[in-house]
Amino acid sequence: MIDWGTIGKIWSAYGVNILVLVILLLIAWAVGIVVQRMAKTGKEDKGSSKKE
Amino acid sequence: MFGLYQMAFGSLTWGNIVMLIIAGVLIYLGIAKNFEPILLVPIGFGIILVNIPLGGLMIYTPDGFPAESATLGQLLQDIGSGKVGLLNVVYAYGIETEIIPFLIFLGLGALIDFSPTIARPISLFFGATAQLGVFVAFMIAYASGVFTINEAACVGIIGGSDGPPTIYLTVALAPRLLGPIALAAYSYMALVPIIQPPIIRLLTTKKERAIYMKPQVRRVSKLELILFPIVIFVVAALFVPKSVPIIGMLMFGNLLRTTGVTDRLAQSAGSVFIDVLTFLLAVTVGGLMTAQVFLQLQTLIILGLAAVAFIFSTIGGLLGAKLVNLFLKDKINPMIGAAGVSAVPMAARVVQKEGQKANPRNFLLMHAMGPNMAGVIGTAVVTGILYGMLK
Repeated sequence: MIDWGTIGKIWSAYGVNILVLVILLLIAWAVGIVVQRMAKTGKEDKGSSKKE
Repeated sequence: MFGLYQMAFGSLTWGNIVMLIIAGVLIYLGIAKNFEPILLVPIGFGIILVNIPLGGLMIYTPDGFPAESATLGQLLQDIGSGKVGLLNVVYAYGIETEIIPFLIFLGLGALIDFSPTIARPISLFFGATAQLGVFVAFMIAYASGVFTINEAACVGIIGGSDGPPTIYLTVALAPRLLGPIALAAYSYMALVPIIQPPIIRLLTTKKERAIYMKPQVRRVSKLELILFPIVIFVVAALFVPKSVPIIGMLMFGNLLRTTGVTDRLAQSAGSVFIDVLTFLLAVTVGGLMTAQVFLQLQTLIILGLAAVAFIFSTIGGLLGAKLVNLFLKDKINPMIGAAGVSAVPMAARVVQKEGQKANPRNFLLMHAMGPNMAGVIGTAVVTGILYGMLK
């Protein structure tokens, strides 16, 4: 007889997998934004110090 | 005097002959059709090595498991007396200990460029949804009653279309099935260009396939490239500790590539190092396929379910991309979701080819490489989750 409880338990792993990768997605996205802003600020600082 | 009874002809069974034919087919596909030759040629030759009777390269117990020795000292004696063979040693110390799959993942990390994934992080979502086939194949395998739950999980993981995690999980949960499962995984990876296009065409309209995406992805800075493997590894490891060995090795290899000061290590890991390990792995996997172990109903079912797993993983990736499109102003081409099946780089090439057919202006390769690389991470996470649940 098919143990649907076990099948359901294993399928929950698919949900966990999606959840973990969505969290990784958000972190990768946030890190990307921070690094890009840092690079932008660094360029602006360099530009302003050249002007001075 | 050397007599007929010392030759192998008398011990050759029909099973051996069938396996020799299968080996011939694999070697032919590798050489003539260029289907994953780096894997199929050594696997094919490994099959020949163990299906010539009395050769003694891989000795089996009556249950069909490779023979082992309790200690290293005993092993040396057993090799001398012919109780274990050379491939038994590689299996026991390289594959059963999982050392070879881990180190292959390190080499793989050194070869992977995560820039497209970093440039479009949503790729990670497609890498996750494209694991659908793992669970569909698992469910069918388990419901069939032919496989135990652990075996069914190993059959399912073929849908992740990534060799080392498949081997990692199978050695841990169902070592008896390692030969057929590894063969199915690597063979179907080679068949991605045949399996995926009809599924893509079935689930997308011509208008969707023709959606134009600018050829360039955002330029990724060196700092992002360095931070990505460290951050992704730490977070993934905290959520799924059992994925540490595989994601850890993958990201370590990738870090060697991105630092800019460890080029020598990255080059070594991504060239001769990974080649030697792949060769040892493939020839030993071939060595696991004796007629006694391979020619069973389970093998046929595994080969069938592997196709199901690849088909549903493609469907999962496509549906993930379609779902994301519901919320996006600038629509993405949903075909790039299909590249979340981590068969690198075949799945991305399929998307590129189909994209050009639908819209000759489209150049989707770099867009598809993002989900393709994310699929590697997705498969590693799923493997860790299943390992944690079932081991």
